[in-house]
Amino acid sequence: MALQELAFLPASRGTLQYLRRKLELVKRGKDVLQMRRDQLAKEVLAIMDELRKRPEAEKQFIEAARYAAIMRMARGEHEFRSMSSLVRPPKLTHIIVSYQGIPVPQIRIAEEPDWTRLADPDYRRVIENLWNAVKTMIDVANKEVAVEKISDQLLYINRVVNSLEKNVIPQLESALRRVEEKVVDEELEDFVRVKILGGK
Amino acid sequence: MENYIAVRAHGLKSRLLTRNDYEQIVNGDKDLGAFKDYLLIGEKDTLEEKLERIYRVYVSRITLLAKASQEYSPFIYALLDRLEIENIKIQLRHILGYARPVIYYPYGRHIGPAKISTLKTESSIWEALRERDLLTTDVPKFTTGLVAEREAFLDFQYYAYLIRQLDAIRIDKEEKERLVEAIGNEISLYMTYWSKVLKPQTVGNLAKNSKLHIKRPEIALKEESTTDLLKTINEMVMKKIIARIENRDFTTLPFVYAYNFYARLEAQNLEKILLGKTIGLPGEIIIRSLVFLE
Repeated sequence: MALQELAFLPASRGTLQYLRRKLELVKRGKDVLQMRRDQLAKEVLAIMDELRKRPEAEKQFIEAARYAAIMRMARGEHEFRSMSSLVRPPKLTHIIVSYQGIPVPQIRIAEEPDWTRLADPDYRRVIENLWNAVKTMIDVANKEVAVEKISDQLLYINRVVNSLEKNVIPQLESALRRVEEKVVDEELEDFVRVKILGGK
Repeated sequence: MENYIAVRAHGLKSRLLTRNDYEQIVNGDKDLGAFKDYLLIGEKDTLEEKLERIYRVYVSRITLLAKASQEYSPFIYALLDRLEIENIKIQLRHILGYARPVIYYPYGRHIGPAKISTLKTESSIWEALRERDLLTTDVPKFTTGLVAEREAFLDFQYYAYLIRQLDAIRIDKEEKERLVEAIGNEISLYMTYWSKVLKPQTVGNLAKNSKLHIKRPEIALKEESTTDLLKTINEMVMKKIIARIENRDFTTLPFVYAYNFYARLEAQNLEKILLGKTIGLPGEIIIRSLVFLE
């Protein structure tokens, strides 16, 4: 039933009971949504803590990439390219993980890169540093996507709770009051009518 | 004839880029194409095209000297053949690794890049080298399974081949001894690098297998990083080996050996500069990685 139709409800005991049940249900729904909102907010806060790693991860990645660039220049393109042939690239997969029931896309490392065929210690160090930095960045990116998706859900729940609080519940309460008043009036009218008829 | 080649090498040396030229290229004051020998390098060329042209200049410089004398050409060409060995190393990494795209040096007197890229097994590479007389000994049983062990073996085989080519030409006995000594010193410096990458015993066995008698380097190199070590080795070759040749063999064949080192160094320096600029490294870092002519 649309909220606008509440104004045209017939004033009867049945309507009164229907509106009371409806108001009860809406209030319970609002409480449940508020609890869900708190739960999601707590989850976001917990993840936000881990997101504080981001500046450090970025710094680590920039440093590793810079070191790799210097090494690439110092050893020359011919050597660097063919040396990179000795490294087995990592395999990454994409899965959907549920965060408090919200589906969040995440990257998982299916296979770590293998640089055991590289013997030169400088190349090994470059690849190791670069991979560690990329791993941390993947972790941060996963958390960021999770925060984004949970925040979307949080905003949606907030909109619904606000709408219930500011719109649906007041209108229901007002309709309930109006119907209640009318029903009481009608009952009083009936009582008086019965009394008068009984006196005759 | 020996004097003639040495004099031509001096002429060519006068056209090599100076520290100032390198700095101008790095700072963007001058394009590489502004230098006469590198006229063909255009700004719009890709990095691969630029690198190919740089190494073509190096190859043409040394080929010019080799063509000037039939008598000494086997040794002079052998100096250039190092690029072929580098191409073989690139192909070994390609087939024993994960076959990523690679670039080859534009040179192939025995096995050109087109042929090398068709060699898809390790045994076919050794066979191709043996057929072209680039292997002095049998291929040993490699113990580590690392490509680096094969690369070290190739390096030692190259030096053995170079000495063999030197033995075959007729020059003054003392000059020849000095050249052998210079090559020996160069090998011993590169041994320091291989000993950092592989176990010293493995490197020793590979050198022994290639019938090279390597003495300890005159100066102990203590660099932790192999990249720094390779730069120091180049500087040491310049200061200790090439400088000695410049003093004693100003107009003889050993000077060609010195010139080859300078010309190769120029190609390597330009490769670093172009690469450094392409990947956006600061000028001071690029300059720091270069080795300048003394």
